[in-house]
Amino acid sequence: MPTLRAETRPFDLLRIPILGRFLRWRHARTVLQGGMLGLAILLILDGLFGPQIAPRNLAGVLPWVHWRGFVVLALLIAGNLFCMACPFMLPRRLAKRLLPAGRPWPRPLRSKWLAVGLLFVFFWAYEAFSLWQSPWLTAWVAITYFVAAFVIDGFFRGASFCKHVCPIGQFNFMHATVSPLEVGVREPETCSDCATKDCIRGRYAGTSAVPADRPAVSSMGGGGSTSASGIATPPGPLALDSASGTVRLPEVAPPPAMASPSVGSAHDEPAGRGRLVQNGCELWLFQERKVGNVDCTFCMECVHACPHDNVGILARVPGAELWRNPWRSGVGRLTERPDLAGLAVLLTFAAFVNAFGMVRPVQAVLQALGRALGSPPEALILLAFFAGALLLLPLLAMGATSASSRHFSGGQEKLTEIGTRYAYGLVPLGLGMWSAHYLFHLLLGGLTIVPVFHAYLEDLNLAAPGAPAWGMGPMIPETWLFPVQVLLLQGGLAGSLWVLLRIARREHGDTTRAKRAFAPWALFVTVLFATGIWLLLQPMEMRGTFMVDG
Amino acid sequence: MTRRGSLSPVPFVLLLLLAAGCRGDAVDEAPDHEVRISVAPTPPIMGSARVVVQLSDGEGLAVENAQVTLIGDMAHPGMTPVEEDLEQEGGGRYATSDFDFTMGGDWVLSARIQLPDGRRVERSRSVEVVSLDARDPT
Repeated sequence: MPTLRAETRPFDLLRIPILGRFLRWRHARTVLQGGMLGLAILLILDGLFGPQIAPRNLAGVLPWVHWRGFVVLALLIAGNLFCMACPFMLPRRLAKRLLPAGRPWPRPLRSKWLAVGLLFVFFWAYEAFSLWQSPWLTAWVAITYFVAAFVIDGFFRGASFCKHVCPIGQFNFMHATVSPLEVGVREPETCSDCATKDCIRGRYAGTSAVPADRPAVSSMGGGGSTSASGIATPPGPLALDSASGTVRLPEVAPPPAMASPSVGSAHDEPAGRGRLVQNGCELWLFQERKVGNVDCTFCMECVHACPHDNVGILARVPGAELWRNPWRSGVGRLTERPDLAGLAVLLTFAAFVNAFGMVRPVQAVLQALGRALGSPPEALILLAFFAGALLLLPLLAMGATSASSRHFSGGQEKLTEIGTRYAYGLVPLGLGMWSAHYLFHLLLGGLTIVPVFHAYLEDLNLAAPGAPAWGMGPMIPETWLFPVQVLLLQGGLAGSLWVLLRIARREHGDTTRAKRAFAPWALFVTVLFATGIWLLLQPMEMRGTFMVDG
Repeated sequence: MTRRGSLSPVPFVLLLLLAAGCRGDAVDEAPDHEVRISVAPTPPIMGSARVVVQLSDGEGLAVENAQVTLIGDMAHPGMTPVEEDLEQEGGGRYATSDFDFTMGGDWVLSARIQLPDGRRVERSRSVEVVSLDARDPT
């Protein structure tokens, strides 16, 4: 079985005395989601009804300072913790009860391309509508998210919203590849001997945890009803089609698509199976064949479902899954997923473009672009800018680097194949830039939540005596910020160089040819890194179009 | 069968919604009063600036002996605001010559005023602050 972990027994977060016990608790995720849901409700209410000055509104501070900062922090030091605590999934449970959630996700949309498109729209809208300085719009973004998750998962099987739609989820999935923890199998042999595969099927009332009368399942296969392209297929016999990479469940198994979180609802009672009491993985990641963090929401369903207590949150080599290329349940091979590679490239370039939107030179660029286009509305200028910066420039840069890599290594492959192989090497640097940007805001303004929340309570006549301490803000001395940012970016560069070198060695062996194939990619990420340093040195000028009447 | 011990979140959410609805944008207990906020130099440059708040009542008469606090917020959340009590200069003018724009970009200036009769007024305007190195080198 493919694994990215060390041979020795790795660190397991679930073995930690208090935290591990909490995370193993069946309702732990609901508690975390409940807390986040409470914050989301406060955000929406204050965004809609509170003062429309972003620094004084929970809808300004909570998402754009704290949530983004803690997301990247969690990815850097642990894993995809924010999908674990995602509040949008709570109303979705109701949707699974109320709506006919049995439709398969449309075949043309079974990839990451839709999410790539949504991410592009979001990055453009963030600047075009200055979401960061509009609490009202921010509240509506949150409301739209709740509605979208509710409707999509109310009509479609499993966690279609998470797997195919959610832009935030894709950000987390991709960057969690660099995280030090993953949800994985403790003892592979235990999975080989397991006859029930509850981690993917779910568990049904009236069935014993480990029934002896079920047919044994081939250890080479893995449930998940997914193909190498991430395509969900109807359940069938559990077997691995080596040609297509498709894995199917045995006929006796309840379809994972039926394993919704609406435990006990009418939708969860396939004939003869009884009532569903525990979901399996709704993103069709079969633990026995699961590799890494792509598409894993850390929902812990597999942990709770496993009758052998054989799933943990395990330490692994950060980023190793980016250069290793085994077949992955629910994902397939990374080298056969141009959509995932496209997602990696878009997110990497977006990290730099998003930061570029906050420094002074962007004004000159947009003004020049506006003049060249005949002074159209600002939203159209920004659309042209983002089309150039997030689509055209990456396409040209990836194409040129792939061509150079092929030329120097003497290869014959298509440029798209080379680009798809090496695109994942950009992810560490992308996360480095996102972290340098988002942690800057968190470290500089993390404590502003104190006076903002104080003012919120004060306006509701619920505050303690005393005025809000508006002077609170930085969490560390401001002189530390730049060194921290540079350190994060350097870490990203080092990670990218290492991943790209390992990819080159994977493709060409430890040869001179590998070094030649690697060289153009090394230059590519070094140029990106230098761009990042230049961005960090620019004077910040946070501008938008939102006006307050005088 | 009845469920015991379950606490529905619906009343709590409704209460919160009701309470949040009471949270207005800015206090304005004297809507007939006029408040003008002006900044010099124009456009303001990162660093110290002179800010004047001109206050007059509904009949256009200057209002004296008010307490005026000026708050500057960066448009982006997470930046520490700048807060300054303004000094009365006469003729309804309240000013500071040392308001510190700590960063270039969009700012929102809010004048928080307590009138002599105790009523409160808050008015805001946005200003674009130019970075030091963004000035014309000539």
